[in-house]
Amino acid sequence: MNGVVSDKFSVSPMHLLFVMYVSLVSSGTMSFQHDIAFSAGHDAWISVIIATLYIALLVWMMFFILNRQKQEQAYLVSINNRYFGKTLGTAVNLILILYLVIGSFVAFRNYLQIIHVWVFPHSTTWPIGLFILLIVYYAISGGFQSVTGLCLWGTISIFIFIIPQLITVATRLHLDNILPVFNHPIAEIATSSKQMTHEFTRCEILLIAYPFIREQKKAKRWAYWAVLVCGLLYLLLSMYAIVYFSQGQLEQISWPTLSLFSTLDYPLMQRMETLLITIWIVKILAIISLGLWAACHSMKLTTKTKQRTSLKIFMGVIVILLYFTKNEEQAQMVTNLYSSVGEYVLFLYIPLLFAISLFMKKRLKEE
Amino acid sequence: MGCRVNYKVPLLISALSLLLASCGNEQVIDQIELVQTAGYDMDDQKVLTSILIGDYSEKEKTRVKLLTTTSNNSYDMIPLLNFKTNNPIEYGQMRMMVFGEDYAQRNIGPILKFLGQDVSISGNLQLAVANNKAAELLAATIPAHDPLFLMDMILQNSDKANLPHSDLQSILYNFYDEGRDVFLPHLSLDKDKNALSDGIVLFKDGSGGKLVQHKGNKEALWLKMLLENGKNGTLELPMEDVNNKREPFAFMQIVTSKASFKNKTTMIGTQPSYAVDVKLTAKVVLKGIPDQNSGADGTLLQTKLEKYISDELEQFIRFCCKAGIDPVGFGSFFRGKVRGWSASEFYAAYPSMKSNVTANVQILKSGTQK
Amino acid sequence: MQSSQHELTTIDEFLAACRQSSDFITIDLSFMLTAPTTFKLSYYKTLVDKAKLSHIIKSLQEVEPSASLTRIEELVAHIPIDGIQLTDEVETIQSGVLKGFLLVHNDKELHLNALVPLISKNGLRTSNETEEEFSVVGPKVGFVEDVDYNLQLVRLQLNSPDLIIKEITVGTLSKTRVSLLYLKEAANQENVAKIEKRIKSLNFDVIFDTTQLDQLIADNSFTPFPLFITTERRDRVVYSLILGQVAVVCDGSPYFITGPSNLFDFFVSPEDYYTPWLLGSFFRAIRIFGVVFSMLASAMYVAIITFHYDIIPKELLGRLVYSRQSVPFPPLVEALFLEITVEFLREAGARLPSRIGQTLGIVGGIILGQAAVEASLTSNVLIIIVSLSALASFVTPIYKMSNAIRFLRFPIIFLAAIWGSLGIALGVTIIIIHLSQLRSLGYPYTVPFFPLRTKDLKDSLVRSSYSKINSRPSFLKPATTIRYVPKKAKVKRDFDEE
Repeated sequence: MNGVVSDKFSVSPMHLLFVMYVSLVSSGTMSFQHDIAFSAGHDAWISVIIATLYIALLVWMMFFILNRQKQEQAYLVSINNRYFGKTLGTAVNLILILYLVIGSFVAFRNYLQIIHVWVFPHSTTWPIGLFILLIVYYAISGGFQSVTGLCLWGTISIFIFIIPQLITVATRLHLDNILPVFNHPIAEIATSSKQMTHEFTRCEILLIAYPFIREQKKAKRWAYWAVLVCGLLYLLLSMYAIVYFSQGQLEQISWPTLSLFSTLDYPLMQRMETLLITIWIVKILAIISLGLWAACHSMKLTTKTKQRTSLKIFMGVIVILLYFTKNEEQAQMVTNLYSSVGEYVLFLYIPLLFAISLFMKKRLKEE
Repeated sequence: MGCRVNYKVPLLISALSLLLASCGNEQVIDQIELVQTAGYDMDDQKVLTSILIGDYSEKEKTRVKLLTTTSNNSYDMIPLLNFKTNNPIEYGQMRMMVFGEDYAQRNIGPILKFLGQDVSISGNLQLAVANNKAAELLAATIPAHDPLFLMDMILQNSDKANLPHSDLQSILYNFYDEGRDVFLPHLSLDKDKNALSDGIVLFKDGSGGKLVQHKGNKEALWLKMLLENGKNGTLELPMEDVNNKREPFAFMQIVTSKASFKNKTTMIGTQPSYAVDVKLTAKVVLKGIPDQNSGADGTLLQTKLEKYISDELEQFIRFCCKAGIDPVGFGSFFRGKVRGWSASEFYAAYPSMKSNVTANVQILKSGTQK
Repeated sequence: MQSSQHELTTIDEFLAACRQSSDFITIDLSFMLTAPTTFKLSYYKTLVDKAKLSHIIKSLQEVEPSASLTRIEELVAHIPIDGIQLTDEVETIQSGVLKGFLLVHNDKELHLNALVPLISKNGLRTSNETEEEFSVVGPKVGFVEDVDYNLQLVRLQLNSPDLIIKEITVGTLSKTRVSLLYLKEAANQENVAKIEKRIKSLNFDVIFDTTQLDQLIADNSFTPFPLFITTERRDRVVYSLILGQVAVVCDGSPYFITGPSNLFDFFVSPEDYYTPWLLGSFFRAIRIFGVVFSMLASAMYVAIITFHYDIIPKELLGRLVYSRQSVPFPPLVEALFLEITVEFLREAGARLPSRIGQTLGIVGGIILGQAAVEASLTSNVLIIIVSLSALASFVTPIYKMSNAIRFLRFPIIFLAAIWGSLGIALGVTIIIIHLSQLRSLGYPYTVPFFPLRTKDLKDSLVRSSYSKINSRPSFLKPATTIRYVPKKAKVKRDFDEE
């Protein structure tokens, strides 16, 4: 009952696990092994651990920042307004909102790319894209609880599916590939870790969703659990990619997670990657919805725009972006832009907030 | 909540109907021709592609159609073959690909890269090299009424006989791994024009997938024992027989086998001198041996057998070293053990790699013998 | 309450209105009795129990001529029936007479009248075996179309003063008695108040059945999913009451609705609790699998045949291609054709008497199916899939849920025909989003999964043993949580030791 939002719209602390999980395990899950293996080779899994530890640190910082606020002001928009002043704060907020929208677009566009390459190579993907957006609108119109529900099912469905598959694949691994450990210089592992943090660029959603969590004291634990689960999932997937493919092969494959499952053969089904793409759609919808919900909610707090209106505007932005990113290179450009902004958010913005709140700690008690 | 949803319903329905009209990626299963086995041959500098299509119009009997076409490259078989069929050809169900000997003599690297990048092609695709022309081999399987006859044959031989397992995924793994070379199963025709699996073909990746040598079923078994915890391999065991009372060969069946490698590399200055200990443990069943496997004779037989197997393995490894090919993956083994390993250095030293094979064989009793 | 009838203010007006019907009868007792009296009896002869009436008249005739019957109390004392009300309120008299009460009145003393309950139960079925929710194990006690009898059945099993029944009258024309039941020690008072408020604020003319009430008080009418459990089984109602839910029944309906319900309640059969928990869990899991299968099987067929030929394993390929070989329609049309045929069969079977229904099933199922395959209108693989999924849709213990599932099949088949497996996934996602937005009496519909309540999972997908499920589901926010104290867990003993 001690949340700022009424019980009717908030969720119990355990659900932070799913919200955080969805914001951390993003659309890159299908392809990140390819990216991180470029610099760190078979030591790429070390960079996954490093990146996860950094994210755990960030989550700790975010909770620190939130705890420094008055309870009813513990959310991103008000923090920005308080720390940077009204004008600059609003500017920062607007940039972050745009960043969230672009983040949703990147997840959306990457998934359409996967569909285009793996499922419907001969037809256009915009109709299914529009339909996905309609569903996203429906999900967000149900409010935060509905988005959380989607996050929960997105999390559960993937776990139920992916774990048995990984066990089945386990007979085909070349465990030698991991050896020798630490065969790459620190610089290469660092580059790869930085690459890995691109998967975590949505973690600031915690700051936005926080007021919607009931019994916030208990919530911290679940956020760390989410980081742990994501870290383990990424670690497992990267390890699998390293020991399942040879190094040269990994550099050739764009979506290692999907290729992992393409040799599986069951009595009723083969080509499990199709099924994985299918089930993955729930997760993608959750990512897009969560990002857009966060954007709409922040927009409302910043400019008092109705969420319904801003959601329509953001959908329009996504459709326009979709129209302008016709080929893969343009889509890649947007993704790269998003990732580089994401680096600023992860390495500059959140630590900066943390630093400010370290110095402003007294103010809370004076007020 | 109800009212909020209401106006969305017509929107949804109109969107649906619009999209129903706009979709066009159908591949209805009975309106396509499914390539299940394909073959590539060289034919006067052109590529001769032959495919087997399963025709399931009769209930119990599958008819197999063979189509061939020639082209200047290996990649446009589908459009060219489409000229010859009433339904579009799709290759998502292709599970077997055979290279003719002359095609495989040319480098197989480009086609492997092509196969690896096409998402329609399953990682379970079996590849093989034909003794002569792939088209002939495909034609020979038509009477079997199974467009995947060759695939089943290879799988059966990998599971129950001497062939090491291989599929597109593992072949690509070997191909792209700098410490390993590709091997493919070898198929040929016997004198009655029946397809026959006989051994393996070894390639060298370094030069883009160059065919090096064909090896028989015996070598296939040695490779299998070194690569996987093999089961079900069989072998003819030469028996020295002073009295000439029996057939000169006994029959050995491997029940289980396990090979373990130990790194014995020593550094001479900065230059490592590569050496490996291979230890093979196996359980075998022997047939065609007189009642001598008791007491001292038993141990004698066992020692002989161990020596035979270790000698043969040693010989196989020596052959690979001399030819500079590495189907066993010694390169990737040393990469994991020796820091600062590099492919070029290793393969320069590879012919002089030292190996020491010890076999540890246990003879199991079979049948009702006492 | 607004009403189309004009208010009748006096008894005379009311009686005059009644006399327009030919079945309204007034007997003047002064001609029939030996004792002097001025009273009259008025009643609808179609509503009262004639045997009781003649019994009353007979016993009044036996009264000594010397006795005084001039006051209503004196007369009533001679009527051998319980529950006689003395009243002068026109409204009470009106609704009483219209329900089958006998009105005792005289022309002089208008201010005091007696209502004698003589309600005839003729026309109600006497058998109360469960018909729709049949079970092999366990009691077969069901409800009938009489509210008093139904309430009696519930009270007999819940032998506690904690069982509270509140009666509300609903319906401007029907004046239906609606009873609200809850267990005081279990139910959350907020839920009781909420449902009572919703029923009281209803404005409706005739309530035929509790299922109508269900829709009228539901949180959201734009959904195929039932938001309250509808049941005719006594054990199910009692079990819901124990868990802390509220039950509602209206007169004239053999169904109770219980709520707040969640999705998984609809897959629970009372039989789960009569069989050992291992078997109970297994059958419950089978039921849920059946529902998922029923919803997706035909759509999967359409998706695979239309788009994903490459995921068919090679062993099945030949069969599928052969069975589709000479079918002239696209898979979507083929599937819709068969699905609609099955719906016809079901609908026709439901409207016909059971014997004809059986014949119809055989004709439809076997002959039609056979002929359709012979004529190459459909593939026989699809016939198998469609009939399996029709079968599977009936495994849900609650009929309304199986309706919802059968309905949802169609949009998913359409989506499968557009985008293959992706379409199916999108359809399922829409359903998931819809489900997580649904509320039953303000409670989330998909608890205990979303919002996740780990404590309540032990009686959702599986049914744990009685020692584990001794508490009421926490998502109902019950008044007290513990139902009973289970036996202490056994200490782990070594083999062959006590």
